[in-house]
Amino acid sequence: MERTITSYNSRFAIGRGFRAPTSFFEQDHGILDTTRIVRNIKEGGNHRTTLSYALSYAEDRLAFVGSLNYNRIKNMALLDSGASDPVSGLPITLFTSAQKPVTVVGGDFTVTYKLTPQLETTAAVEHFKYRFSEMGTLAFARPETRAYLRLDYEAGPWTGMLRGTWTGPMDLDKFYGTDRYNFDGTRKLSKSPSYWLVDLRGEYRLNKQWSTFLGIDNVFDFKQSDKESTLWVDGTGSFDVTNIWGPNRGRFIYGGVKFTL
Amino acid sequence: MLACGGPHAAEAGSAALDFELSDGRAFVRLADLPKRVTVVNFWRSDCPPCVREMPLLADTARQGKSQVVAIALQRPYETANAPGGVLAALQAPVQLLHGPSEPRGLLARFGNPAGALPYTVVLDAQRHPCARQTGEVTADWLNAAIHRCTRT
Repeated sequence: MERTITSYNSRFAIGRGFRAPTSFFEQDHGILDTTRIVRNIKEGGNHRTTLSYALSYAEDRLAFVGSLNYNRIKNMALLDSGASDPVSGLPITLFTSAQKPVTVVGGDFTVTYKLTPQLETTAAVEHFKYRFSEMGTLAFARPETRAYLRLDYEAGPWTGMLRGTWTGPMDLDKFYGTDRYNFDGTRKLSKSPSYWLVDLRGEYRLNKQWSTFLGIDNVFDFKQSDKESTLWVDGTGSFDVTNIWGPNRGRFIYGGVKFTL
Repeated sequence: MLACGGPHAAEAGSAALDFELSDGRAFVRLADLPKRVTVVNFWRSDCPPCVREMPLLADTARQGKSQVVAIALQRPYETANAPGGVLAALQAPVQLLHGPSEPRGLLARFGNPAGALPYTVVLDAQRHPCARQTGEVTADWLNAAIHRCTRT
């Protein structure tokens, strides 16, 4: 359902989706903790209900859009590595469904303004709330708040982009549980620190078909491993490398030549 | 997308239209352009009828029948990569401007909320719309529209 009044556009949407999961990455790549996987998934697969509303405004130099979103997923597939075979007692991995629905509610707002004929700036913020009952349902920690600042430049054959992304603290206990330790016995972080990532890229158009570009991702070389390792061990001595909340890769410089037909 | 009505008298009660768009060096306001009949054409390089009608619009501008403003709804580098015939047509006296990255508001303000292209609006000297065409314009339509707008 959509209405437009000159510069404003209002959109409300309802959706329903179905997905039948067949396997997990760990299963396909043979990196399960156990030697056997048992499939015990609810029939009918994942059911997803989505509600969203967006209001946008667009003028010659200024545009903004804000949206609210609600997502509810029933029978979300998950891997349970802590199960045991009821007969042999041997550890197994259970490919199963979450008992309670997963809910993600979020909002975002983006504003763009053309500062000069050559320079455009964008600022955005998004915030999410995750609700789930079983640990590991969403696999990895998710940021609750993110903000973006971006500058885009275009003049003649030159284009340039500078982007800063701020990621807010994540509740690691909520996603990973509290039974996580470093190898020296100290506890892993309960909450991740906030951090900035800065990327920049420039491109020069040689002619209609050829252009050359150079870019740097993560200019200030921020890595999670500078603050905390992804390695963790639990109270039983089992370990994994899945304590992830930040970038794995540091500063990355790339360049190239682009050909357009 | 390619239908349309013919030219008609300045729409009663319609407000004077305006825009503030970039010519690559500065922002250009419609209100600051010379007060005469103006053909405002919205186009994109990947729109074949937009490309086909460019020479007609260029001829109209060169013959001094009206001023012509061509608003490209794409990035400047896409305009630079447009077919040669388009670039030849987009020389002075045609005024080439670039629309915003989100052109919906601009198009709706000029009477095209659906965003169909090509889209042409002819304004009288007071910037009131007196003719609109969704789809490729013809010489007959354009001449009649300019003539009608000149009389209002």
